Formats: sequence, C-alpha cells, structure tokens
Amino acid sequence: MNIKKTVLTMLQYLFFVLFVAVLLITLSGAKMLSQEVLKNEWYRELIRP
Amino acid sequence: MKIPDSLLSRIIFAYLPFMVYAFDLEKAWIAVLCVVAVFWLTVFFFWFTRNLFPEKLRSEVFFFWLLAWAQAVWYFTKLQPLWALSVFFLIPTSFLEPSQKASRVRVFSRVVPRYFWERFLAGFGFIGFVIVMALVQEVLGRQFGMMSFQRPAGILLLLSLAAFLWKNQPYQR
Repeated sequence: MNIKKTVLTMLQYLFFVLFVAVLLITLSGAKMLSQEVLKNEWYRELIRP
Repeated sequence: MKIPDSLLSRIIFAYLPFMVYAFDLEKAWIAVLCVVAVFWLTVFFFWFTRNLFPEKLRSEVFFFWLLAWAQAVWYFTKLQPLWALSVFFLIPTSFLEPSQKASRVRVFSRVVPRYFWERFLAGFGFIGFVIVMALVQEVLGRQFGMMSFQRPAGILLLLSLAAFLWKNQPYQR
C-alpha cells in the first residue's frame, strides 16, 4: 500500500515537472511568435495604448 | 432568489486591477474578455487536472499558470499583467486546497455541470459589471466632463453604490 502511494506521489511530482517544462517551452514559443506578429504595422496600431 | 454576497465581493476585488488601466470602452471589452476567457479556461483545466499534481504544490501550479498567461498576453498585446490579478480574485481556489470541501468532490460527479454553470455565470456577471463601469465612466467622465469619474475616486463611489444596491436587493419568493 505504501509503495503504491509513493509511486503515485512520484508520478505526481513528475507531472508537475513536465507541466512547468511545457509552460516554459510554450512561453518561449509565444515569444518568438509574438516577434513575428508584432512586425505587422496594423497590429501594432491596434494594440497601441 | 438572492444573488450570493461572495460573488459580489469577488467581482469587486477582481475589478480593482482595472482601475489602474486607463481604458476606453473598446479596450475594456478586450481586456474583460481576455480575463474571463482565461478564468473559464483555468477553472476547466484545474478541475480535471488537480489530482494529477502533488497536493502540496497545487497553489504553486496555479500561480505558475497565471504567470505564464500574464507573460504570454504581454508578449502579444503589451498589456500590463495586472489583469491576471482579476483572474486570481475570480477563481474559487477552494478546490485546489485539500482541506476544503470542494476539493473532495470527485472529478466526474453529478455536481460538476452545476459547478461549471455557476462559474460560467460568474464570468458573465464580471463582463457585465466591467462594461457597466466602463460605460458610466465613458458617459459621466468623458461626455459630461465630470473629472472625478476619470479618476479612481469616482470609480470607488460607483463600487460602493453597486455594493449598496447589491446588499439591499429585494428578496423574491
């Protein structure tokens, strides 16, 4: 029973690490994509404060 | 039916970050739609995945999630990430805390549709609230030139008026 619980907890921590990694990878992808999108003049005009 | 007070306090707290922005009506629409979309997505995502994360780290995961959204939206729109606070105030974090009753509700149970429906309505309530505030600001502050409504003082007055009306709403049988 204890082994099962330990394995489950370890899997949960693994999922957490994976989740953070996916977030970071997505963010760096979003940064690259945004640099492309921000090259459009009309878009820059749209988001101007 | 009386609308619960907790929803009002949550909406008012969620509105506070909006006071920092000098939005016109159009920008307020875009920002509030962004907030509510992230809010619904967050509720949906965490309801189904909460048990996959370690109990001790659920709040941190929620925090990282919000930070990532704030950062991503900033990349694309250069919108200051204060709006993420609005999402934070709107979310009932009780289902992420192991000691709370909501966290013990099973992921797939009959309660879930009602739970999502309430969150869906809360999002619409927030959209309505922000738009009414932006409209009043637009009309009184810009059209009629009342300076106090272009500043937080006028908004706080409106907030207290909304709280007063909410507190004194009539009961229905």
